[in-house]
Amino acid sequence: MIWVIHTLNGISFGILLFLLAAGLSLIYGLMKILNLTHGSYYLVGAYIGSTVIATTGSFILALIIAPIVVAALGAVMERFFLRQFHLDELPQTLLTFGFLFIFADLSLWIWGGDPIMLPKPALFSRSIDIGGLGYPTYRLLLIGVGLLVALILWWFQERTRVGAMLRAGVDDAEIARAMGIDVSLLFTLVFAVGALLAALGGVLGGPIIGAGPGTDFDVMLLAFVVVIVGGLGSLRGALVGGLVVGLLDNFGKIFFPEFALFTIFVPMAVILSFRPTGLFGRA
Amino acid sequence: MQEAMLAIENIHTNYGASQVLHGISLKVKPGEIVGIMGRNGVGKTTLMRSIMGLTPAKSGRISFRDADITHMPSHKIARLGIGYVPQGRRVFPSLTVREHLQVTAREAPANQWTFAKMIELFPNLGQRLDQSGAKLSGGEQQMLAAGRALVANPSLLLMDEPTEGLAPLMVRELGRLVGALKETGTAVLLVEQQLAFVLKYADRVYIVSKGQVVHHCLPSELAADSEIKARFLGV
Repeated sequence: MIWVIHTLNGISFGILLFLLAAGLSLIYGLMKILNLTHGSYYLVGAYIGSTVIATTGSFILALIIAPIVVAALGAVMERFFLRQFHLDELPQTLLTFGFLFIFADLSLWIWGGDPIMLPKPALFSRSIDIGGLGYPTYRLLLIGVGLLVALILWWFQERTRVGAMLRAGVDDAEIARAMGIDVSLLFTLVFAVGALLAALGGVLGGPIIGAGPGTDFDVMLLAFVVVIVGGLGSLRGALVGGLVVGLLDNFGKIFFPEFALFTIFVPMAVILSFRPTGLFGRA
Repeated sequence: MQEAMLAIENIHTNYGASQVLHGISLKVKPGEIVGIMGRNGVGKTTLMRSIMGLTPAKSGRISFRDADITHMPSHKIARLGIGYVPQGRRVFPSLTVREHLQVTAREAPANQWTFAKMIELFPNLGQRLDQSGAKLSGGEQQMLAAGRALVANPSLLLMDEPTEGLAPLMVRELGRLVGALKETGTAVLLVEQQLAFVLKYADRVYIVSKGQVVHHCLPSELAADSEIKARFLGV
C-alpha cells in the first residue's frame, strides 16, 4: 500500500509540474521563446495567495485572485515589453530573464526572505484511509483540479475557434498571419493563460512545497525538464511529461535519496537520445 | 479604364542581407487575372511576400483599394481582402480540413465563398473533413490552401506557383477553380511556371527578371513571342 501512496505523491507533484509546464510549452510553441519568468509566476502566485488567505481566510479566493493578478502581469509583460522586440526571439528571452530578477527582488521586498507555506483549505486538511495508511485529501484535490484544468485546456485548444487559431499559429505563425489571424493578440493571450496556470500552481502547490527566495529558479528548472521530456509546444506533452517527471522525482528520492536531481536528468537524457523532440514534440 | 485595386509602385525589398526586388511596379484591376512569370530566383515569391506584409518592402508603395498597405501587419492586409495561397501550400498539420475552412471564414450576406461552396467545388475535401491537413495528397493540399484563403472572401487572391508538383488531373481541377474565380469577379495575381496554365487563364502577363518587370503583355502576345519566352522563361 505504501507504493500506492508513493505513486499518488508522484502524480500530484506531476500535476503541479503540468500546471507550470503547460504555459511554458504554449508560449514556446507559439513565440519560440523560453519564458524564463515562468517560475516567477509560480512564486508571485503563491505569495499573493498567502496574502489573500491571511487577509480573507479564504483559500478559494486565493485560488481566484492570485491567478488573475498574475495573468494580468503576464499580459502586461508581453504587451508592453516583449512587444518592443516583435519576432526577435533572443532579446525577448533575455528580457524574460530580466523580469525574473525584477519579480524576485520585488517579492523579497514585499513578502520578505522567509520561506512560506500556505495553509491547506479547511475542507481538505484531513487524511483519508488508504489501505491502513493516512493520505492527505489535499493531494487528491490537487490531482482533481489539475485534471480538470487539463480537460478545460484540451477543450479550448481542440474545440474552440480561438484554439484552432492558436494551433495554426503554432504550426506556421507566418501563414496564420497571412490568413488574417491576429497572432500578436494570441501572444498576449498565451502569456496571460501561461501566467495564470503557473500562479494557480503556486497557490495549489503552496501548502505542499511552499515558496521562498529561489523557488522561482527551482520550479522553472523542473518545468524546463517537463517540456523537454514532453516536447515543446504540446499540451499533451506537458501533462505526460509532468507525470513522468513527478513520478521519477518521487521514486528517485525514495530509492536514491542522495542523487536528487540526477534521477530526473538521466531519464531526460535517455528520452532525448531516442526522441530528440521529446515524447510529443514534432520535428 | 478601370481603377487598379492593387497598385505596386517601385518597390525594393531585401530578403535577409540580399536585395531581391529592385523597383517592381505593377497593377491589378478588379476581377482581373494577372500572371507573373520568370525563372526561379527572380523575386516572384518575394513579391508575393511583400504584398502580404510578410517581407515588407524597404521602399516604394503598395496600395490596395486606396489603403497604403506597404507596412501594414499581415493580418490586417488579409482582412482588407487579400487572400494568400503560398508556395508549397503550407497547410496547418494540427488543423483538420474542416478547421482550415472555418477558422478564417468571414461570411457576410453578399459573400460568395462559403464552407458549403468549397465542399461543393472540391468534393475530395468534403470526404476528408476530419482529417489533418498534413494527411492529404499534394493536390488536395493545394485545394485546401486555396479554400482556406477563399473562405475569407478576398477580392484579390495571390497564388504562388499553385500547379507546382501537381498531377495533370489536379492541374485541371485547379484550372476549374481559377475559372470559377474569374466568373465571380475575384481578381487573381498568379505566379506560375507552367506557361500553358498562364496562357489559358491570365488576362495580362508580367515577366520578371532580376527583381524587375522586364516585359508586360497579353497572353496571346507572349504565346507568339519566342524571343521573350527563350530569354526570360527558358522555353
